[in-house]
Amino acid sequence: MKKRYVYKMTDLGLSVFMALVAGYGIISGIRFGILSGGRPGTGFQPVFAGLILFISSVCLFIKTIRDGKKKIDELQADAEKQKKHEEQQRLREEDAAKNRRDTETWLGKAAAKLIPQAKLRWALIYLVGIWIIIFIIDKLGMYVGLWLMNFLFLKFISKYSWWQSLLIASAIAASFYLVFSLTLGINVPSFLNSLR
Amino acid sequence: MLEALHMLSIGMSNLMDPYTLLMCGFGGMLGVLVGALPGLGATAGCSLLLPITFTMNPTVALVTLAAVYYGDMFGGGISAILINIPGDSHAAVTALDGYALSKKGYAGKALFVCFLSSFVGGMIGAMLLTVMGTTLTNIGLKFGAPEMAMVILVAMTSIGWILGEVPYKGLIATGLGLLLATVGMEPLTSRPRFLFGQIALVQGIPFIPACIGLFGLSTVIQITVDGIFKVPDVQTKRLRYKECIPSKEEFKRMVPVHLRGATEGFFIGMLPGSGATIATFFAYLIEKRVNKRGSEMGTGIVEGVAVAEAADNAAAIGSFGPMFALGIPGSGTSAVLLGGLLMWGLQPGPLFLTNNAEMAWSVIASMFIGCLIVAVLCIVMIPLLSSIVRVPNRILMPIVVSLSLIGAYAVNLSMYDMYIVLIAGVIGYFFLEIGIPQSPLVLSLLLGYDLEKYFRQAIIMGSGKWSVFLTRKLSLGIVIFGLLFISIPIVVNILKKRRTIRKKQ
Repeated sequence: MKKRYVYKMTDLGLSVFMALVAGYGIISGIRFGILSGGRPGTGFQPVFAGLILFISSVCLFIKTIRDGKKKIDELQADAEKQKKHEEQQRLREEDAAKNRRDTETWLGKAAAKLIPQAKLRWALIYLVGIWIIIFIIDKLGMYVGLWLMNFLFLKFISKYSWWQSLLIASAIAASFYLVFSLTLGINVPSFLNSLR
Repeated sequence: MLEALHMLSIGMSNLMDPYTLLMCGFGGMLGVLVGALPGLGATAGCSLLLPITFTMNPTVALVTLAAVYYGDMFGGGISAILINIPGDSHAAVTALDGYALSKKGYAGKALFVCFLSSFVGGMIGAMLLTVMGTTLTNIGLKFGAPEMAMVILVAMTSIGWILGEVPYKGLIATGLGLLLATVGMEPLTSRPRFLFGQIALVQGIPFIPACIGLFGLSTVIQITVDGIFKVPDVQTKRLRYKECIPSKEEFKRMVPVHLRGATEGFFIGMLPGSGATIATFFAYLIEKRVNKRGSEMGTGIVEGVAVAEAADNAAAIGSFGPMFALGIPGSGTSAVLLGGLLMWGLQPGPLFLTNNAEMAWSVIASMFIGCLIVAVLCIVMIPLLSSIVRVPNRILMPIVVSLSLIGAYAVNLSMYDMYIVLIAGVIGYFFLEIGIPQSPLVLSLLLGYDLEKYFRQAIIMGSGKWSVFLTRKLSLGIVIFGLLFISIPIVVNILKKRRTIRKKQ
């Protein structure tokens, strides 16, 4: 029977990416100077860290390749296991759906059209979304930014109604203001300052 | 020793003034609050309170500020356990087992263990400070760069115990953490490294925002990705007080853990410049190695919370040793307290304990009483605190994100720290998905800078000779301890295997 190879692509990708990062660290370290006058120089630690990272990345790469060489019968067994697991998952989800609301959100559906992989998509939504919020905090003040973020989160991810989202977001922002600004006197970027 | 006990009794009698006791309790609870809020540590708490204490009697002021410091140790664990965001850097270790316990539905128990262990750690620390504070401080001062480098190296060798299921991935996290620790100005010549044109990176990657992102924000992203309605809420029913109290067996198991954790924490806390965070990581890693249930630590057992909390409180109290005996701050917070002493017209230094004996012993006495007050108040509040995890994920998650952002900002009042939280959060999320443990990254990020600093200082001290680590007695002792520490479990394992083979034959 012809052998098939299955590799964990994430692990392969991770090891290659980390080896590149390690390579950058090592080369930069050598440029900084590993030793100066027989003593450890500026580049000593980056080279040391880079070597640990590089060696472990290569080891992970080799391990992933070795683990990936599975025979076809193992693959079939895996596929059956996966099928069973998916069936169980489906039943669990159906059960959960009876008591809970739909998990698909408007934001998720819209983003799904742009990026196919769910996990990557959500990570990007967070990255871009919070990046924008931090920008807003910088321009309009801490509590305005946090209020906006909470409102959008509650409306589009938590799926509360407009009124509920408005009330909860305002309550969160108000309690943060009470604790951080009024009680502890922490000087956060404020909306009034941004107007000046 | 008898003299110390006599002085302690004088300190206790000074403390019996209701106003001093009230301020001690107030300071302790303020410490709990600043500890529980991410980004605001004891240093920030003491700095906030310092101007207010200016009008107070110096003894009362110092008692209040000291209470903020150890109160912070109690509070740091609260947000770490309930929402996986360490309130202060030392609480990153508490989050490992504390949040895992919370997810299992034992948030109340985790909080109880956290407060109890902080109390026991504080008591052991205060006792050690009373009995052998001056002696230990003098030993601590013999710790130079070679010894510190070796202590950190021993801690780093123990990372092996938290590498996770695939050790290579844990090593990748370690290497990455060490590499990230080199970002910014290098410790000896201040030459900038890996700035990528960003001036904000000159100070390096800030530890607390990185922790908040790696632990807190990454969890929020994971829960949202898995479906905010699918992931069950941590706790749905009202918590009964009975459920918070650990079993008899768990109490028994915690006794040696407290003793070890507090002793290690106290001694490391006394070393100038080490602080509670290194002490907590060190004690946790040692415990993971020596405890029978060490392999389960990190999955949510009481020992993990107990050792971290006992060590951090003992370390906080230990840092008062060099401050009182020699006028050297053991941590950032004790540096603020030293500033306070100057403000009140007192002269910190080797004669402080002699010239202001009554004041110093009142503060030491207040540690016994203050820890008790804070522990009782915190334990009484457990049902109220644990009601946080009863908030549905749909509301709790945006609160956690907000707290992460404002907490990160509060550390240095810098927008840049918010971006660090965000980037660390996304990296932490991918780590969770790919199965890379976050703890080695956090540990090596924390220790990497100090390791480089002490290692290079040691070589300079040895005039370029790398044998400096073996020629100094204390350093050699630590090297031998480290080697034994690594080799004994391996030898024991080999012997065990041989015995089993013999029995089978």
